[in-house]
Amino acid sequence: MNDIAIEVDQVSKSFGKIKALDAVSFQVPSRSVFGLLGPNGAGKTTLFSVAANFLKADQGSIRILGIDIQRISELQGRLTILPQDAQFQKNVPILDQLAFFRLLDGRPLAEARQEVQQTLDLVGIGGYAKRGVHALSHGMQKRLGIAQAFLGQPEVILLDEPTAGLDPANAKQIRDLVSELSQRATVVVSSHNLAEIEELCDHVAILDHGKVVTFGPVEELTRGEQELEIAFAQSLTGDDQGTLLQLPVVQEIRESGPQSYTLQLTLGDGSRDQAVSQVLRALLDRDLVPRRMDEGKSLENHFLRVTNRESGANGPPPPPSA
Amino acid sequence: MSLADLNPRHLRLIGRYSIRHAVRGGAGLVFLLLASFFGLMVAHVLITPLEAGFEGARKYDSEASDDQIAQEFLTQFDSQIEGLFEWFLDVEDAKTSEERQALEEQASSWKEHLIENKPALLSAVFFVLLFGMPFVLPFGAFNQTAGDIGSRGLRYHLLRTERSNIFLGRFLGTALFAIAVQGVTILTVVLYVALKLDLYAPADVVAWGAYGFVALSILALPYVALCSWISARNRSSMASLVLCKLVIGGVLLASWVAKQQWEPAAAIKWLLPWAVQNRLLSPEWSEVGIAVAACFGYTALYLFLGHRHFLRRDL
Repeated sequence: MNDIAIEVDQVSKSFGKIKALDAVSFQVPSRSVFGLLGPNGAGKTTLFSVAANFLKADQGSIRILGIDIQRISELQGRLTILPQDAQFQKNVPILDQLAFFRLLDGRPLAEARQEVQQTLDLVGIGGYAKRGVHALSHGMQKRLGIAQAFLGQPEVILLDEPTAGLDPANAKQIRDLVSELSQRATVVVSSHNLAEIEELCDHVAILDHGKVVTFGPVEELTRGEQELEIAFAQSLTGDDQGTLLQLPVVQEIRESGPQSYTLQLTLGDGSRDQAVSQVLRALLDRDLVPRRMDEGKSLENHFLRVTNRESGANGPPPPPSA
Repeated sequence: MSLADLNPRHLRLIGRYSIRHAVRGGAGLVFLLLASFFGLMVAHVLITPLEAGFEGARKYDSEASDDQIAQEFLTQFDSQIEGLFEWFLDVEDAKTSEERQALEEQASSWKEHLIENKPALLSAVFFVLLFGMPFVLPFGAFNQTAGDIGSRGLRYHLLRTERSNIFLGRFLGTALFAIAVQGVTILTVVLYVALKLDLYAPADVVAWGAYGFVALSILALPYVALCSWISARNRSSMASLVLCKLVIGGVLLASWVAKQQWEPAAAIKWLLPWAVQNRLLSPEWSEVGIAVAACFGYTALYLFLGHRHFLRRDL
């Protein structure tokens, strides 16, 4: 099996004078949950649209499962997408619309309808199968879009902002579904929700102003940005902080609130777990029991640094139509 | 992709889906009602006076047989629609006496064919429908792709089938729906004339009705294909409807206006099948053949242009 599920090579796309994608290149490993990060207007949706052949790239190529997307028909049934702003037909029951997609995939009608009903149940809108889209709230419509992307046995699923507009409970449900799906498919998720991407994804690419500013495994990218947030019952003394700073893995300690501290970690050759266990041992040796520990915002720090958005350094405004 | 890559199964599925949901959708219903209303209204306008006169004559001339009364009224009706052919063949525009004579002979052969040899009442209905249906067809064909391009709903289909299948499948579905609606209208008129009015032999009415249905079906193809092209170029279904109506009516109007100013400019009407479509009822089989070929040619041309645009456009 090919280890690369998606290969994006020098893809450019302009809308008039606005360059939405500028020689974008990266690879998505098979069976990974890949995050496409970027601020609004960075080009995420345009890239998804080019990958799904909705838009034609001006230059460059995209290969999915080894097949050039110019021959997208060869990917039928193997690639699905949740487009960001596509609407379903208003006057057709959703069961009929989704069953029609499965008919196109080659399934018999009875099986298609049964499969659609199961998928709608999975995303929690099974009771609306015979209703039109007008009966669904915004969040439910989003889940309907996700249901159509989950239909069948796709090997690659592109999800453009899958949790945008969902309440926290629904968003969590969708994240759980995506995690489950990643056992059998390569999933690419676009979002500007860094916490979500950090929770879901093992690889990311960060887009900014139509360019890839960085991509790779999350752990590798954030190696230099590792943080540990710890809350205690009381404030740390100078000696406590000195002890921690003597550890080779602790680079810096900042107060992030009352009795709460952020430790900047240096992982070196070791793993994050080894670094955390060293910190914990040192704390317990001094009878300091953490009340709460958090992984911190390593991806956010990395994102802000590579997109040059720290301290309000936002750069030029993003292109509006990308 | 080329047409060789078309998937017949997908074409069938998309066409069927398009027909099913045309009936459920508002636009499909509007077309169904408008086409039926238009067809039946034309028949009503032509049949009612004849029927009323027929009944009146029976009442006041009780000695005359039904056959005699029918014959008398048919003669009157036929004389009323005779002028139609001279208008249609532009006899008045003849520049020389030879040309005029040739056109009059042609008009005479049309009269003989459509009034004497065929049920004249149905001929009149078909003649009006051939002229009027191009204005009604856009109501059923304007939104083949435009609305779904605007709402980006086609994006759900694009990873499951080729663009060509979507474009041509929807054309086929729309054309079949339009033909079915015309068929129901013609069937209603034919049944009424054959069963209720005792003017023509039922077999003649049915045979000529079937011919008229085929002629109108062939006529529908280029206009539905034109709407496919216009629909593929627009993101708004309303803009598509307005453009379809403007193009179909506008070409005819522009041709008529141009003819008053500079006669060669009347050739504008060749942009659409206006110049040949009425030949579908011609007494000469060679002319019918040319009209059929022209309708298929226009259909192929509009589909080619629409398909090419649909393949290249951002969806």
